[in-house]
Amino acid sequence: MSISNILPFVSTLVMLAFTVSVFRRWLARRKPHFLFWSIGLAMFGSASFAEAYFASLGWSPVIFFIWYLFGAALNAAWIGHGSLLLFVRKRWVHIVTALLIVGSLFAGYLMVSVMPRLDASAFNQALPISEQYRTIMPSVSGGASVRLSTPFFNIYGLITLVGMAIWSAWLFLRKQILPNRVLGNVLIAAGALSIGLASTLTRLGVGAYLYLGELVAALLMYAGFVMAGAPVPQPEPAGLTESAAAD
Amino acid sequence: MAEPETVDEDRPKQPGRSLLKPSGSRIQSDSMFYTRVLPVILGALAVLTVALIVVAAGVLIGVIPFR
Repeated sequence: MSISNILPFVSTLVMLAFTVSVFRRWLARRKPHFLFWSIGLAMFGSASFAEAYFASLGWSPVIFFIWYLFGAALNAAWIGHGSLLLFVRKRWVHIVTALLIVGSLFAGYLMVSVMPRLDASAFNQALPISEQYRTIMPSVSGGASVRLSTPFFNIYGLITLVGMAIWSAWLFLRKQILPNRVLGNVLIAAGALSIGLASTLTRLGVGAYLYLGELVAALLMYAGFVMAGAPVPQPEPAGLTESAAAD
Repeated sequence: MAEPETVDEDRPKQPGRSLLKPSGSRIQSDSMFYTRVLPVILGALAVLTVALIVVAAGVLIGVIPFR
C-alpha cells in the first residue's frame, strides 16, 4: 500500500476525534452551530473512511455513494452553515438552513439515480479514488447530474466556513484581544482552504493531492478548533465571544 | 449584582485588575507576529479563497471544463 493510501486512515482517526469533540460540545450546550459542524465533520470523516476502505478492501457501490455525496458534495456546506449559524442570528438563516437540507436531500436523490450507471470495472484498487472517479461515474451529460451540484455546495461552504473564520480572526486581531481565537480561526481557515485547494485540483483532473489535503485540513481545523475553544482566562466581550467562527 | 467594594486596612493591598489580568487574553501591541505577519497571512488566505471561488464559479458557468 502506498503512502497516499495510508493518509485516509490517519484522516479518519483525526476526524473521528474531531467530530466526537464537537458533538460532545453540542450535547453540553445544545447550540445549533455545533450540531451542523458535527454533521459536516462526520461527513468529512465518512469520506476519509471511504477512501481508506477503497485502499484496503476494494470496490463497494455503497462506499462510493458515501464518498461522493458526503465527501465531494456536502460536507463543506454543512460545516460552513454551522459557521453561518454562529455568526448570523437572523430569520433568513432558517430559510438557508431549509434550502441546505432540501438541497442535500435532492443531491442524495441525484446520487441514488446515478448509482446504476457506475462502471465498477473501471475501479483500480492501487489508485486513489480521487484519481479515477471520473472514469467510474458517467459525465453530466451521461446522467450524473449530481456532479453539477458540487460547485454550489462547495462555493457556499467555502464562503461561509473560510470567510467567517477569516472575518472572525480579523475582528479579534483588530481589537487586539484573544490571540488564541485569532490563531484558531487562522488555522481553521487554512485547513479549510487546503481541502478546498485539493478538491479544486481534483476537479481539474489532478487528484493526487486530495488525500494529503484532507489530512492537512483535518489536522489544522482540529487544532484551530481546540485553540479557539480553549478556556479564556477572564470574561471577554459578549458580542465577540458569540461571533467567533470557532466557539 | 456586584457587591460594593469595601476597604480593609488590615489586609495587604491586592494588585490592581490590570496586574491580575492574564496576558493571554490580549494581543501585545508591539508583537511583530500579530501586527505584521498575521494580517499578511489573513490577506493571503482571503485572496486564495476568492481565487477558489472564481475557479468554482468558472466551472459552474462553463468557462473551465468540468471533469
